[in-house]
Parts: sequence; structure tokens; C-alpha cells
Amino acid sequence: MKAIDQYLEQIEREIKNSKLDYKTDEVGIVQEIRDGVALAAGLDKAGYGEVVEFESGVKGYIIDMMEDSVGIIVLGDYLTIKSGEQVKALKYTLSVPVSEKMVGRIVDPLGQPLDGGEPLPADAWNPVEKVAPSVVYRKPVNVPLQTGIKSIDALFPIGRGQRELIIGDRGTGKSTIALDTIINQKGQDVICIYCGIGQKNSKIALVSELLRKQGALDYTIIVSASSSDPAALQYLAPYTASAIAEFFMAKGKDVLVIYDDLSKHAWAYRQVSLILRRPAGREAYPGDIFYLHSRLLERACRVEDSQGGGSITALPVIETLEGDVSAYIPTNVISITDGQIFLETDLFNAGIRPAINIGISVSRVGGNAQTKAMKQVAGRLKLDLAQYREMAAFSQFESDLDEDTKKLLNRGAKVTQLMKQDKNKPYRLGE
Amino acid sequence: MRLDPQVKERLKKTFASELLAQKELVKVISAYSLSQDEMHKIVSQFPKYASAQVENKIDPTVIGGFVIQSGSQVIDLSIRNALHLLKKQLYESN
Ligand SMILES: Nc1ncnc2c1ncn2[C@@H]1O[C@H](COP(=O)(O)OP(=O)(O)OP(=O)(O)O)[C@@H](O)[C@H]1O
Ligand SMILES: [Mg+2]
Repeated sequence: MKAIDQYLEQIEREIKNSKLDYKTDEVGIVQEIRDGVALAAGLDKAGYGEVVEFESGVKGYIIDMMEDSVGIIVLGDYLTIKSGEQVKALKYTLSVPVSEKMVGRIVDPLGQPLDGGEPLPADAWNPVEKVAPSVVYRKPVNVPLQTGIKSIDALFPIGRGQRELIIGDRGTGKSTIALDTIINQKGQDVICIYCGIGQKNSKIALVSELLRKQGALDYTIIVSASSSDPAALQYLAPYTASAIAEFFMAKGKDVLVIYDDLSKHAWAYRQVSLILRRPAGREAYPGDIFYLHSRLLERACRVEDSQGGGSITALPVIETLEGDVSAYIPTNVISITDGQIFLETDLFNAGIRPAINIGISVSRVGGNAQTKAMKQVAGRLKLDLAQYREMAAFSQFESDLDEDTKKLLNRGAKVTQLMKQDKNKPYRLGE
Repeated sequence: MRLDPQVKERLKKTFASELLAQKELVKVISAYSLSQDEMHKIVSQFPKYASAQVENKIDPTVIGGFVIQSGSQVIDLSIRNALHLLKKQLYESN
């Protein structure tokens, strides 16, 4: 009953105060409701990205502004909204509550717990959409982030603050690489965020179970918008993960964020855009699909000490169809990231796991972040292995080979065996 | 309801132009009809609307107090809104 007392007090105060105290609200009228999206007239002075509230208390935010109406993504149950009802602008852009307590928890794209645990207090509210730090605040990437996967640490080293794409067909071990990297961060003082976009709920349960068993949940946050959630929430999920990561980065922490996966994210955005009747371009994606991912991945960085001195390393995942990297979304994300780890079904089926294609995988900035010892070992490895794969395919038809080729093949076969690694068994640098 | 898209387009345009016309007009919504004098007293409290054209609209759901609407901007000083806020506060503090 404390609330009532407080309210009465407030009324008394207001009555005593002879001056009229009022605030002006910006309102609109709902015209149309489509799957997860509402169109409203009015709201003339509301801004892009502003949060609005429907009569039922359901919130939404503005993502489209037309001549005399606005498009609103509904964050919650859109079936309770009726056309003709009032929407009120709340005068702030979409933010999520962030706190230290989030570590070890599973949250939805609005920062609310999904694991049935205690409600989360908010240490701060971070905007979901934020412009990435500018060049002057950035530091070069030169501290390694050990993935614990031999072939990656040796051949395609990843530095803190880097964006390395994991790309491959369905079931080639993409998520496994990402999760092993999380497992390997134990005791490294890295906060990990696993962002599941459009994943099955059963997979998210497996992920949290695996991380818990490996003791990795003590430094990991899972953000999930599953395939049963509205497209709008799936669209928001990676930005929320980024907002949480920025909270820890500002505290000087190194953060690792996995976006699993951005193909489904692009689908979710395509759905929202088509419902809003935006013009569709290639593969029916809207025109700003490139910006969708570039603005997200630009938020990965390593900042100056004046800005907290932390970093955000991003490992986005993209699923290809039959190894086609020239499809729209894969080419886009490849061009945005600092390198890619390309996984192949053929290698996977041949038992070479992780199924990394050495020839076309690269890491464009991680070289500076490799430890000296590793550099010495790895020096010629990549070239040798790439040559070996090429030669091995070629020599299948050839019976008599010269000595040099035989040596190369021999060495290649051995190294390939050496690079095989079982899942969930990351290697420490010393081993 | 299925509408011919052309009709729908026309309706939308009419609606939009009507909205535009209403923008200039300031509406004072109250539970019962207000006299000219009362209206004047209310509007004079809001310098922004002092010189605007004012109209009284009756809506019993307001219960008491009044709502001033000008285009998409609303100043809600009604009992309905106060009750609404109270409900929200009670729910939030649980
Ligand atoms: N290094 C490995 N050694 C043995 N098994 C592995 C290895 N990597 C992955 N696997 C197995 O391969 C299967 C697919 O792996 P994973 O789920 O990571 O692939 P994915 O590419 O993320 O699949 P999806 O497209 O469904 O997301 C899993 O059953 C996993 O256990
Ligand atoms: Mg996966």
C-alpha cells in the first residue's frame, strides 16, 4: 500500500502547487495492424527510433516514417492492439537495461530474463542503436584472442576488437567453433555474449547446458530471440547484444560477441521490410540491408584508455547454401568483416573437423596479434597446407610422383591430421 | 473489410487533408459542455494556444478535467488519465 500513500502525497503536493503543471504528449491513431507492425497517423513530431506505447501498455518503436503516417515495430503481443486506438510517443529512443548481474543469464532482446530466474536490476540503460566509436578513439588490434582451436590460432589468428566471419553450409560446425571459443575464454577475463537469432529454443537450451557444464556460464550472457519470437525481436537481438557488450567495454573489459546467425537476422529484417511495403531489391531484401550489418559490425572495436580501454570482438556467423559465398548476404558480410573462416561440407564429411578450407579463409588484421612463438610455427604452414590440398586433389590421378611432391604430400597429410580437433576440447597455448 | 485500392487511396488522402485542417484547430475535450467563458479561462493558461481557434468536444469517458488536443499534440489533464497513471503505478510497484 506504499504506492497508494505515495500517490496521495503526490496529489496533495499538486493541489498545493497553484501553478499548472502539465506536459505535452505526442500522440497518433493506429490505422493498420500487420504481422508485428502497426501503422499510425499523427505522431508528427516523433522521431525515428522513438519508443511509443499503445493503450494496452504494449510498447513499440518507430522504424518507418512516411508522409502522413509512421511504421511501428510492435515489441510484444500485437494482437491486443486495435485500429483506431491511441499511441503515445514516450520521448526516448529504444534502450535496454544493462547490468553486471546479467552475466550467467539468458535474456531476450529487451533485456528481460528468459531463464525464469530473478528479475534483473538495471545499472544503466544503453541505447540499442548507437553510432560506432570514431577513428580517433580506436586502438589498433594487437592483443590476441585465443580461440583454442589449433588451426584458427595458427593460421587465422584473431585479435581483440576484430570481426571474423564464420561462414559455411548447414551443419558444418559453425556454432561449435563459436562455442569452443567461448569455452576457451575461461580465466582470460573476457566477457562472452552469445546472441542467438532465429535459433530453435531447443538449440539455445543445448548451448546454455553445454556452457554451464564447461563452467563457461560464469562469464557468458546469452541473448536469444528464437524462431518462435516475432521477426521484430529477431531483428533487434544483435543490437541488444551490442548494447550489452558496450556496457562492459566502457568498464574496460574485453568482450566477445557471437551473432548466430546473421542470415536469419537478414531474413527477419526482410520480413519486416516487406510487411512495411518497402521496395524490395535483390533476393527481395530491402535497399538498406548492407547498412543493417555494417552498422552492427562497426560497433566491434578496441577503444583508447580514455574511453575505458576495452574491446568488442565480433564473430558473426553466416549460413550459405551449397557453399555459395557469392549470394547477396554472404558477399555483403564478407566485405564488412576483417576476415572469414570458411567451413566446407566435403571436409566435414571426410572427417577433417573443424572443416576449415585453408585456401580461402583469411584473417586480415589478426597477424599483428599473434604471439611470437605461434608466428614462428605458423609461418609457412598456411602456404604448405593450401598447396597440399591442391596437390592432393591433383595427384589422385597420378601414380608416379617426384620426390618433392611426395614430401609435400606427406607433410601435408601429417599436418592435416594434426589440425584435426574434437569439439568442445579447446587447446591452451602451452600444450 | 476489403476496399478497392483506389477508394482506399482516396479515403486516405481525404483523411490526411482533414487531419491537416484539424491541426490549426485546438480542441478542448471535456466530460460535459463548457461555456465560452470557461473555455477562455482554460485556454488562457496555455500561451501557446492563446490565439488559436478553439472548439469544445464532449466525451464522457474523460470523467472530469479536460484534454487539449492540437494536431498530434495532446495535453491530458483529465481524471481518466490520472486514474490511468495510478493504475500503472500500482502495477509497477506491485
Ligand atoms: N570438431 C568437431 N568434431 C566432432 N564433431 C563436430 C565438430 N564440430 C562440429 N561437430 C558436430 O557437427 C554437428 C554440427 O555442428 P554445429 O551445430 O556446430 O554446426 P552448424 O554449422 O552451427 O549447424 P547449423 O547450420 O545447424 O547451425 C554437431 O552435431 C557437432 O557436434
Ligand atoms: Mg549453428
